[in-house]
Order: sequence, then C-alpha cells, then structure tokens
Amino acid sequence: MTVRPPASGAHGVPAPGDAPDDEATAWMREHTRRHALDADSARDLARDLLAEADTAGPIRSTALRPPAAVPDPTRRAGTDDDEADETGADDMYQLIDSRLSRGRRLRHALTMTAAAAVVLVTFAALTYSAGPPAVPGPAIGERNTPTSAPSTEPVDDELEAREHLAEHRERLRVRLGSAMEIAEGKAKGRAIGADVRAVFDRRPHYVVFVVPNAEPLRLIEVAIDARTAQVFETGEIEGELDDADDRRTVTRFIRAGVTLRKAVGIALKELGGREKALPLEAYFEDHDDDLTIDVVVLTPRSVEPVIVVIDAKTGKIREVGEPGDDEDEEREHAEHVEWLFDAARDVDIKLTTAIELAQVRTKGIAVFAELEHDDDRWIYVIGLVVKRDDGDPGMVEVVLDADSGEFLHIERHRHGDDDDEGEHEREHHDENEDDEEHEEDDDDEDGHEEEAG
Amino acid sequence: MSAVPRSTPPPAARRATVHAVQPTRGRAGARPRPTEAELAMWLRRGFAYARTLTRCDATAHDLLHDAMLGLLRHPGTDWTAAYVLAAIRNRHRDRRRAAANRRVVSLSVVRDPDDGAGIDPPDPRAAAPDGGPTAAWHQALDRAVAQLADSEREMLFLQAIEGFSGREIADLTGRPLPTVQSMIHRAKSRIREILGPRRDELGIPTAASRGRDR
Repeated sequence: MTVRPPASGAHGVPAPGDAPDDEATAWMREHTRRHALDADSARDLARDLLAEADTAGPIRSTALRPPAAVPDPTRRAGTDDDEADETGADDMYQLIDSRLSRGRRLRHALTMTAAAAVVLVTFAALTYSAGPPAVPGPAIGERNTPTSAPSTEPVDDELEAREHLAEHRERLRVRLGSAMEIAEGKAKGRAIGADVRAVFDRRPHYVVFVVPNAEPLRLIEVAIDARTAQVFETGEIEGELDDADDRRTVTRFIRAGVTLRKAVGIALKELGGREKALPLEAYFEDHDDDLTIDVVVLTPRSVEPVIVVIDAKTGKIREVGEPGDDEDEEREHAEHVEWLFDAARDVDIKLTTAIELAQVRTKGIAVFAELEHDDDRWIYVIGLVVKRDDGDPGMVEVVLDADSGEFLHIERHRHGDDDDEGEHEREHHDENEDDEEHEEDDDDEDGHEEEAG
Repeated sequence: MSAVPRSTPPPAARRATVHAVQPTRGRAGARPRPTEAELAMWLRRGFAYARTLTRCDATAHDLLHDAMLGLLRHPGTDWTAAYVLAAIRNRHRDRRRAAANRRVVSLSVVRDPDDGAGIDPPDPRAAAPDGGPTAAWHQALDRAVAQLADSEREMLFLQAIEGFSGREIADLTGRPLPTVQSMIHRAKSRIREILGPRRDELGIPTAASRGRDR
C-alpha cells in the first residue's frame, strides 16, 4: 500500500519545486509546524493504536464508524434502504437494516425520543421541585425557572412557516434573481453561486460570485444590500483559481446550458411562483462531471427550506427535497436510536437503577443521564447537582458501567464567577487506566485534581 | 460573511450529506492496514487537521484516537487523504453535536472540552521572560489563527497544508466551490490584516528570509 503524501508542503515543510508561498500560507504552515505531533509520539501512538485495534471486538460505537458517518453521495439518486449495506456501515448496522423495516425503526426512534423526553422532563421537574434545598444559588435557580421549561402550547407548524416566510420577504425586499442580475451587470460576467447572509442582522444582503466574461479566468464576489439593492462591496478572490482542477470546474459552470438565474426561475415555477416561494441560494455543483444547480427556496409549508436540484444541461428538475427529507440524516438517526434501544434493553443495570446508584453515591440529584458506548463497553454518564461540604453548589458527572454497576469515574466541578476558573476533582475507578491518568496529569492545565479510586 | 440566516438550511451540512467524500460502493472489502510507519505518518497528518478543527491539543488527541481506531477497525477503510480526513471531520462533527445536546439538558456551566471552543493556554515557552521577537511572533501567529472563523481556518489548512484544490475542499466539506474560495481568500486576508502591521515589531520573517531558510 502506498500512502499518498500531501500534495504540497504538509506540516510546514515546503515540497521541493513548490511555487513560493504567499505570506498567509507560509504563516499557516509555520503555525501548523509548531503544533505538530512529533515523530516519536506518532510512532508510539501508532503502535498503541494497532495493538488496541486488534484487542477489541467488532465495532459497535458510532464513534467507530467513519464510513457511515460520511453519507453516500449516490443516495441522492433515489437509492433505498436496502443499499445501506454497501455504504460501509458496520456489521451491527447491516444486521439492523436486514432485520427491521424502515417503519419499525422509525417507530422505535419515536418511542425512544418520547421516552427520553419523559426522562428529561421528569428529572427537570424533580430538580425544580427539590432544587432549592439541595442546590441553592442563583445560577442554578435561574436555569430552572419555568420560562425555560418546554412550552405546553400547541405549535402550529404551518402558521409558523407562513410567518417565517413573511418575515423573510419583509427583510429581503430585493429578490435573489434581481441580486444576481445586478451582480452580473456589475462584474460583467456570469454568476456561479449566490446566497443570502445576515437575514436578521442590521444589513441583510446577498453575496453573488461572478466569473467575468474576459480572460484570464477570475472570480468576483459582489455583496448587495437585500433592502436597497445597493452594491456595497465588490472584490476579486485573488489567487484561488490557480489550481487547474478549479479552473476546469469553474469553466464548466459558466458554459453550462442553464444559467443560475434561469434555474431560480425553474425552481420558483415548480414551487408555485414568486408569491409562494422565496429563493435564498443557488449554486452550481459538479460531482464527477455531473453538473447540477441547487436552488434553496423558502416556502409557506415549512420553516425548513426546500432544495430543488436542476440538471444544469437540460434544465430539468432532478429532485425536490422536501423540508426535513434528508434520508441520510434520518437513516443515521434511526439506526443510532435502534442501536441504543437494543443496548438499553440488554444491559444489566437499567437507567433508573443507575440514577439511583449515582444519587446515593453523590447525595445529589440527577439532571441528565445518558447511555453511551465507550471503549467496548456500555456506560452511563450521569450528571448530578450536589451541595458540597462548603455549601457551594456543584456539578458532578458520574460514569458507571452499565453491566456491572461499577463506578468508573466521578468528576466534580465547582465554579466561581468565571467558568474557566472552576475547580475540578476527579476520581478514577478503572484499574486499567493508570497510564492514562498519568497522561492526563501531564496534559491537564485546568487545575484538575485526581483522586485514586 | 459567515453569518447564515436563521432558517437557511445548514447549507454545508445538507450538501455534505449528499456530496461529501465517501467511499464508493463495492469498495467495502477488506483492505490492508497501514504499517506502523505509515500509520505514524497518518497520525501526524491527522493530528494537524484535528488540531485545526479543535484548536486544542488534548481534544485533538482524543478526536484523532477515536477516528483512527475506527478506521483501523473498519475493514473497508480506504487509506487516502480524502477518506481519512473525512473520517476525522465527521467524528468532530458528531462530538460537537453530542456536546451541544448535552449542554441543553445538563444545566452544566462547565465549558465542554469537546466543544471546539477551547483554546490552548499560551505556550509557556513563548511567554518566557527572555522571549525575543520570535516568541512574540509565534504567540501573535497563534492568536491570529485563532481569530479566524472555524470554517475559514479549516479551509486554509486544507489548502495550505494538505495542498487540496478548491474543488477537493468543496467535496470534503460539502460547501460550494465559490464559497470555499471566498473563505480561503478571507482567511488569508484576515491573517495579513492582523499580522501585517506588526511585521517589524514582531520580527516576522519575510518572504526573502523564508527562501533563504529553505
């Protein structure tokens, strides 16, 4: 196996034959070089990692599934759940995919979400009602005021979406298409990307990227006030089209059969016209020579915008992404919840028991609890508020093994006015972590205190 | 120009879910692991990226450890820069999400070390009493880089250190090409704005002296 080195000058060392760096690039390299991992540490870490990778069983943690965390670009082309196996998801996910229908997974997701909400609300209520005796102090009290409790008012999504759209219309009096036209006139070229910025700030504006109709290839950024249509900033993005690959891509954008403005018109027509939809962004996208234009549009149906994907050669609509219709996110979430669900059912110590154990041990009140997978075992991370011996309030974070009930780690935080000056005391209860503790000691610059477990 | 309207879809996130670098189908078969020396090289490279994302040595170590362990254990890992850096980036994103979720329910006032906001304390070597212009320059450089927006710093790193083209960065981060180019341009301009006027005071090496150093 060959490992391709960085294209140029990694870790602050310019490669032979490199063009002279611009100043900022050289500074960034200097900064990176100063904070680099030294070769000896890298070798030691490599040895440890290779050994560690061999000692543990199959991956179960979301932390250890990089391919699944990187969604599959081909999913957009209408793939279904059955294909998830090939995306590199680990065995557990494949098992879930083959075993469960999408509907069942979603039901589980909803069940778990509801259960989590009940747990959180219950503990919030407990904390609120019992809070003052255990945890006096304005900081905690403020955070437990009823104003921060979840609202019981029914939420009218459609009404909210309409108001949201109206608010945007009010603030974006100049429309995206007009902004692009102005920018193209200003820079005498063709727009390849445009979006809206700072909608709710003092000066909502559009930024349009234009490639002028003249050699050499350049990229101009034009900022346009979304209320007055005034061009208030124009600048060339210098030096960023030096790369041949980038120049080729941009050339394809400006030679596409469909312009960005036309694509916005197509998207609006699809979504009911200017009266019903408000475009926010439009960009060319080039993936493996497949050129599309993505138009992001706000509609009265949801506060989440719709993404219309248009073929940049033919102008045909490839896909209209419904609000929240993000299959990858949804699938990922459902799988994660399903995995947690199985774990929560299978572990020997249930959540309620773990909380009781932690409360008894710390004499505190739990305010959050979470089942996590760490280092090939299931653990509970439980946060509690406690009253310390000196009367100050404090947070305690307890980690205990979800199968044995053993306390693995207890960390106490006490805070003054400045968070950064908070004191931390830790107890470790893992015989195998001696070495790590010493390493933490070395690295610990926040004044943590370690206590042997 | 990094502000995003309240309701605009997280463009980067949404596009990333569609277009981000991803191992292609049918490539999930077992692949050879890197040797110890190769892995050490990946670790150095990965650490630089992880530190750029987190701005904290300790958090970068944790992030790198998790991501690399996952890559080693996954039989289909494609040991290419795009794949490895994407794994680190995704892991970082997951940790930030988890940290954000926990903050909502925890009532904790503790600054989470994984939230990416932690900046290493000043390097004691740089702050040494006998620190000359070099120490001050390094300190100023660290501060200047820390002042960049997270995304700008990441883009600049990927271009300056990894040598990625704008399109490769766009693929990795899920952002449109013009935005990537704009961010890199702004990052460079910002650093020049911060450090340029202090060139003499800090003894910043000039391009000519850098050339001689090579």
